[in-house]
Amino acid sequence: MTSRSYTVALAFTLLGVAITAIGHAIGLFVAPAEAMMGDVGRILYVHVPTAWNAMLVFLFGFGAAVASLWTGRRRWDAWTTAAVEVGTVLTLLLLVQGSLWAKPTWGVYWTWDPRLTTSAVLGAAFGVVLLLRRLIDQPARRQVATAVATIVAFVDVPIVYMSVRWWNSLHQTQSTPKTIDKMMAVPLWVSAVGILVLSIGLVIARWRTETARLAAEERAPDLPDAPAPLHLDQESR
Amino acid sequence: MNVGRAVVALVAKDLLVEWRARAQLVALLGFSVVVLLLFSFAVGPDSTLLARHAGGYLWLALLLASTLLLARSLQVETETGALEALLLAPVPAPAIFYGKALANTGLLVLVAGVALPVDLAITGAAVTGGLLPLAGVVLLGAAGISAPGTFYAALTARVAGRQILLPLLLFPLIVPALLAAVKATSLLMEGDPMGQLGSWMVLLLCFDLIYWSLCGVLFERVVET
Amino acid sequence: MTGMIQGGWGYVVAVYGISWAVLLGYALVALRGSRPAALSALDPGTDPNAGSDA
Repeated sequence: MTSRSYTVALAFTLLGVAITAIGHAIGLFVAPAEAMMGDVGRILYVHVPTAWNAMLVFLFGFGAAVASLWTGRRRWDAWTTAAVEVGTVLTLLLLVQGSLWAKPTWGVYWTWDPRLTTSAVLGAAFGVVLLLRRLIDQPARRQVATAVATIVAFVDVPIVYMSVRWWNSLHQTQSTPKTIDKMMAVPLWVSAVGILVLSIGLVIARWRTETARLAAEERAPDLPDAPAPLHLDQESR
Repeated sequence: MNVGRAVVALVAKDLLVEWRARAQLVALLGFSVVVLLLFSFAVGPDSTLLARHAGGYLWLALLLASTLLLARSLQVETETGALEALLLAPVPAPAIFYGKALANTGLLVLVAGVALPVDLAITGAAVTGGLLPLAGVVLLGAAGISAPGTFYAALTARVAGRQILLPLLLFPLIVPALLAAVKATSLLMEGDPMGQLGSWMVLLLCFDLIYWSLCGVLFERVVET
Repeated sequence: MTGMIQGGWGYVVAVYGISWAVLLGYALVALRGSRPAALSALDPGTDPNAGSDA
């Protein structure tokens, strides 16, 4: 592995931080207060980009998982792991932001909002994939397990969203500000691009580490003795 | 061998294994009853509250019992190396998955058959919407638990922390099926003035279709590596 | 919901503070862990021919 990808990761991360800082500066100090929410509405400039990018990162992880399962190549295993980890971090962050948004807006830290609930389910589902990965020693089996668990978890996203929305619609209806002033769209999109660039940098950095770890493991496997059994077609792929 | 006949043979094999170890099956039924009792103790003797949540208790008892059932159904195979032998047999891997998932669905329905009367007795709820629709909900809900459950049980069968991993993997995934099943069951117990039962059944059916096909496709890769 | 919510800045500061702390902290850990030096420390292997990315 070259160190060129490190430069790329570093560049994306720093650029992402800079763009996000600009977007947030506009959102916090230039944009007008939101008509309904007041200053609390400024939370949206960090909350909404986090949500979008968490989904984008998971979407990439899903694609990588399909490729990993299809080709069996180690580099896709590393991409899947990197994306799932970054996506999980963004999702957990999203949950904290969502709670702090819900408190002044709806009066409670937790509400059965479809998006909030879906994020919680997502965070749990993808977080467990990382845990699963830690617990499997055999590289080929770990790669398959990571890929299929990621695919299965991703497919659940729209179903969870739909079910919670139907479920919730019977209790209460929530108003979400849909009207967006131009001075509010600018910081939103700038921050979204900033966090996207930052996320790309993070995924590349994690991919580098994971690839190196997998390569090191292959060269010096410190696996425990395999438990007897008949694996006739071990490593056939 | 024809795939349909292979699935039937595998279901018969799994049910026979369960029957031979029927003491464990009885223990599982007892477990679900104890869970129901615990729920009612936790809530206390408020009968209206208990009746309102009867559907939720039933499905949580089933879900908790299912993790024990699912883990065991795959452990039987891996402990003795029987899974490898099965894979050598001239049956396609998806047939093995569907055989196991169908057998697990059947066993879960059996657990529900014992847990439901107990649930009704403890909570004082009544099935006003008819037993046949409820049977449909139980069947679809059990199928919704058992397809991803069997799949994850196979995935974690050889992993060190499988007792904790299986529920951790399964519970977040199962949320939509659980919501739909609980909601549909509650509607059948408390009445359905707005005619919402149909849409919950459809949601449950969609969940089942998606996961029965997806897990069937992916299963081969899981057991082969 | 009528009118603006007053005194929301506390929540805004909390959300931005936590978000930046988490993102910067995670970025620091991720970048440090993927430095060329950190990667070669992962792998003290001596065979330069083995283990090209499959």
